[in-house]
Amino acid sequence: MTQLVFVDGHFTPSLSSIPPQIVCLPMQEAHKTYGLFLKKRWTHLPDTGVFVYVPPNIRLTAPIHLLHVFNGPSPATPLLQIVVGKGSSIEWLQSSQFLTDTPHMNGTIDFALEAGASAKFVDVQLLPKEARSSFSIRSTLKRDANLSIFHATNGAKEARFSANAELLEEQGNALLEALAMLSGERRSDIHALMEHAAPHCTSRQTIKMALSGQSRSHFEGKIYVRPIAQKTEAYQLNKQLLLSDQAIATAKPNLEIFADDVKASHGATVSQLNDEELFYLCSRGLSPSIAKSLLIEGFCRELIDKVPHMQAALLEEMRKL
Amino acid sequence: MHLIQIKNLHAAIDGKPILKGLNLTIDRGQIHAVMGPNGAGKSTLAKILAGHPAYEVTEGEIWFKGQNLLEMAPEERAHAGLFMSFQYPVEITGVSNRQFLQIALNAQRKSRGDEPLSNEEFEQLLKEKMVMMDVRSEFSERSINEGFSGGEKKRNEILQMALFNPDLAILDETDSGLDIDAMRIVAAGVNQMRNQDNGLLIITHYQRLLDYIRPDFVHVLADGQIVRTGGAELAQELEAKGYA
Repeated sequence: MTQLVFVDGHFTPSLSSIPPQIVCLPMQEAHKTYGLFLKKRWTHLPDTGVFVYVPPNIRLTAPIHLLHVFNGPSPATPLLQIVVGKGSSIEWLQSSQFLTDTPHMNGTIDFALEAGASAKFVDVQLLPKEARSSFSIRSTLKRDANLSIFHATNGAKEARFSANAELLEEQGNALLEALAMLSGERRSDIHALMEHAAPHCTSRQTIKMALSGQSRSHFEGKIYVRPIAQKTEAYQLNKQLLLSDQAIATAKPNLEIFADDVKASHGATVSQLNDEELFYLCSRGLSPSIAKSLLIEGFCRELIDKVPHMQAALLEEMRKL
Repeated sequence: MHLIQIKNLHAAIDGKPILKGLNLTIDRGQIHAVMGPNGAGKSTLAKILAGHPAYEVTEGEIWFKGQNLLEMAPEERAHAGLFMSFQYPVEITGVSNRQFLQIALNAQRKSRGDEPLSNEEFEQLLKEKMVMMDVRSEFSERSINEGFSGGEKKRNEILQMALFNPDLAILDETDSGLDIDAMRIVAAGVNQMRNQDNGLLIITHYQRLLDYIRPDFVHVLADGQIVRTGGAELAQELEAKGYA
């Protein structure tokens, strides 16, 4: 299996195995060859983390696993700079293993997608309840580039996920899908920014959050369309499902549109299970508890089914709601 | 024992009285039609029989197969053999028809002490009923009623009835929104299920469904009470002369 392993935030080459077609360097080594590029993307040049470069026209068929292992409570700050060359494609599956109950992570990934490049990043964060986790993805997309980000979490004491995409050239596509299933006192914050800086690009955001117990969720998303970005198509949908009286959900959808020929929409709903739907199911012989779990499954399943490799673990989290 | 006996039923929604002393008895093997103008309380009656929580019964009794229906939760009524076809079936995103129907049927079977149907057995039964109700094959994997036309939703209701094979089926305005072909299919489905052991309560505004499913009794519901009862010919009279 091809994988990049970070132990307590440190890249661990001895546990990692990288397909030979791609360049993978510890950040300090990358300074020598890719210093100019890195200086443009970072205000402070990172000296830890990993630099990954996929040369042009390489289509990796198997996903690369990005595994984080946490041994102790000290803050781990994994960092990746990923450059996907012209016409290349790559898929990442990120997950974590915890040997501590109180992990603390502050992770960053920067994606640079060249023309026609495509990247898929699937992040499943099933955290211990005392975890503190903050993870940011930022990205730039050139012409015809495609970026797809998926995030699923069960939340934690602090669990923050933020995804930014900057569509720099025409015909770029950015997709963000996220699912938070929060029970107990867990919380999840999801932030998204889709910045349209060129015409004819599309962005889509679908963020679903289901909350039981005394959990809390917050979604804040923005679609930003610059004056030049005519013919933009940008959609944002946030749905939050409250399953208890004590759970608290907040949503802050934003649209800032400075171009006049744009299709954009945003929707945010915070609701409980629908009484008419529950009655319909019960009137067919389902007990209220089975009817409720079926409706919760109906809410979450659309996104859970997108990650077959983690489906079982996510269904288990769903059943804790 | 009567299949169902409704005695002096008074009911309200949001404090507003809708039913004001309704009496109705249905025996096995009988088809009853309740007709009446808009606002008479027809759908209220259907929803109370199915156990909708928004309606408050303020007086009266309902006995279903000797059991006190008003003491039973909606799912217990289904288990006991009562089925209501919704006037406006709800759409439920993300739950497939197949999954829902199999869970529902097996829940009903379990309550009667029957073994649950296996996937294969259920698949076979569902297929048979889908053919009978002329339902498209992609139906089973689609979300409940999602994107269905009005007619498809009603056919789905009758398909469920055929699947659950209830002792008493209540069809609440099943004919509304049906074109003539869909009405024939629905009526054929209903007629095929008719036997000496079950009963049917058809709630309708118009006579046209009764051209296909011939009732034994027709009742006129007005202002929360049954004001007239007759045979099938009463429906024709109402159609010709109106409710006034």
